[in-house]
Order: sequence, then structure tokens, then C-alpha cells
Amino acid sequence: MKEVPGTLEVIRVDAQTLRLVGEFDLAAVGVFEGAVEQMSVDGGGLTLDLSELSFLDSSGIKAIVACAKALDGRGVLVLVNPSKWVASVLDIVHLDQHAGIEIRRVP
Amino acid sequence: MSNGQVVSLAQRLKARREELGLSQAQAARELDVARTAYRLWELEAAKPQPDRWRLISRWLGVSITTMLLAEELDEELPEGADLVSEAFERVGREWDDPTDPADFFLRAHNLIREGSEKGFLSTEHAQELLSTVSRIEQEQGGSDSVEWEPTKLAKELRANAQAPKAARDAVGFAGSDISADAVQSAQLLVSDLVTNIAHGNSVNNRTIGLLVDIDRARLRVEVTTAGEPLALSGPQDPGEYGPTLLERLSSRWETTRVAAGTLTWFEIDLPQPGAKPERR
Repeated sequence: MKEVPGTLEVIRVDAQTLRLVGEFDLAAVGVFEGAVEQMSVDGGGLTLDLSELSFLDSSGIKAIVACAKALDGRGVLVLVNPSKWVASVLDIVHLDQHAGIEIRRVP
Repeated sequence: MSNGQVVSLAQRLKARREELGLSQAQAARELDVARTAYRLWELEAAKPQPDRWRLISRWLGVSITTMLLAEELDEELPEGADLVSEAFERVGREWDDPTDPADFFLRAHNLIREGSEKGFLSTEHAQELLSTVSRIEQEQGGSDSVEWEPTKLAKELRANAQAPKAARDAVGFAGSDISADAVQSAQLLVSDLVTNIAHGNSVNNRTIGLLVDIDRARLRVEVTTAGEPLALSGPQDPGEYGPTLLERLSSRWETTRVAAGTLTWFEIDLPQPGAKPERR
């Protein structure tokens, strides 16, 4: 994995998709928010590819929830393919039941 | 010992001692040091103080220069031990000099871990030393059921955005021998606790005391900070995920006032002895 300042690298995959690589904690919130701001979201919502996210704590969860709120009717925030551990963290805090958030597990 | 090869002081001591047919205790007596200190020298977990160099070099029959050829004498390691000692005191624990052999190995482990944490030893070197110490303990103790030893790691963190990562790394390092699930949970919880302090950090350079304490029964993490309690026990803001995660991932937890400020601890029960570690 590429060494980056902080713990998270956010890669723009396409116009609607960001891939999160690394660890999503306090140090990564700014990086994440900056990357989201660069996306021009129309009605199609936003997708976060979590397949290479190895760690997520409350700071990251809050940032994801804030991101979903910011979409404000322009579609949902889709979380794709979290690792088993990240998926279980998302389950504990019931993020799948959060308005505007959808979790998709790719088999 | 072949000529032209750099031989470590530890190797020289051991070779000389065996040549003389001495036990470690006898060698320690000849060199006028505590047996613990001598053992640590042979384990490369500590270095002799400069005031011992002359005596040791005479005993080895080599010059001081030759004796120290392979050594990077690290004056800071004892300071590292002092830091640990202070950190333990802050949470009301003793860092006493062990006389019991079991304590000796525990201490050696902790010294090596601390050296690695503070960057005095490379990770590879630390792993090498840890496996050496473990092997010697197995040989000496003969208790083949020992899979790992109790571990305590104390660390002081500066309350900034990098603190959560540093705390997770410390938990990961101390927990390298135990259930991966427990370590993952502990890393998440410690990350949240440290974040709460670092984020609500109004005073610059505030420090966070971290203690990771692992025994057969449980993994315990203590986070201490000067100042008011963390906002965890108050009315739960639906946006605050920390308390939910603490409830679900820890076996028990508590936030209390202590002399130094606020102590928050949590414990995660480990699979009991006898049960094989489930996975790596």
C-alpha cells in the first residue's frame, strides 16, 4: 500500500465512486471530506468502495453519516463490499438502517 | 568464533561463560553485577554501563574496542525503562525489580517491546529478541504448555490526530500473540477513547497515558488523561457511536476519576486456556 500522510487514501474511481484505502479514523476525516467535496453529485448518489478499508472507528462512521446527510435527496450513499470486520462494525451501529445509506455486499 | 566476523557482546559473554563452565549466576558474581542484569546482557535486552566495560573486557580477554565492535550502545534504553516506570506509576502500578524468574522473562519481554515501541530497536530485531527470550524460557521452565506470557505495555501519547493510530499500533503490538478478534475489537475501542480525548483537546500538548495489560483471562486497556471525564457516561447523543461499540465489543468498561485525572478502562475476555487459538 502506498504510504500517505495520515491513515487513509481516497481514490476517485469514477464520477460517482470513491475507493477508501487504509484506515478511517480522526486523522483521515479531512482527507475524506475533501475528496467528497470534489465529487459533483447529481441525482445518482455516491458510492464508497470499502473493499480495501482495513479499519473504521467512530470518527469514520460519523464522517460517513455526515456524507449521507449532505447528499440531501440527491440519491443514496452506497457502501460497497466492506471487509468482514468493517461490516460487523457497521452492523453494530445499525448503519444499514440509517436513512440515505445502503450497504451492498458483493459476494 | 571465526576471525573477521563481528561478534556481539552477548555472544562473547555466553561463549566465555561456557568456556569457563560457569552458570549465569556465577558469571554475574565474577562481573560484580546482579544476575538479572547479566541475563539481560546475554539476551541483548540490555547493555552494560560504561563503568563495567573494563572489567568485562578483562574477563573476556579482549580489548574494550573489540568487545564493543558489534554494539550500538544505546544510552536511551534505560530512559525508556524510566518512562515506562513513570507511566505505570501514573495509573497506580509498581514497576519493581523482579527477583522471580517468571517476572524476569515478563520484564525482558516488556523491555524489548518498549525498545521497539520507542524506536530503539527495529521491529525485526525486536521479533528476533522476543523469540530468543521465549525459547530460553521454554528451555528453562520446561513448561511446554506456555503459549504466551502476560504482557504489559505502557505508553504516553500526545493528544493529536495521530494518537488514535499510535494507540492502535500499541494494542496490536502487545496483542500479537492473542486472538485476532479481541485485538481488532480493542483497537477500535482504544481508537475511539483516544479520539475523544484528542478531539476535545483544548489544551495543547495534553498527554494520554495508555496501558495495555494482557493475561490469560483478558485483554485490558486503560486510557488516562488529565482533566474532566470523557463524555461517555452522559446522555447518549444518537450520533455518538462510541458507547454502543464499547457496550458491544468489550466485556466490561468504566470511566472513573483518579488522582491524575480520568481513567477509562475496558476489558475483553479471551478464549480460555485449553481452548486452542481459533485462528491466526
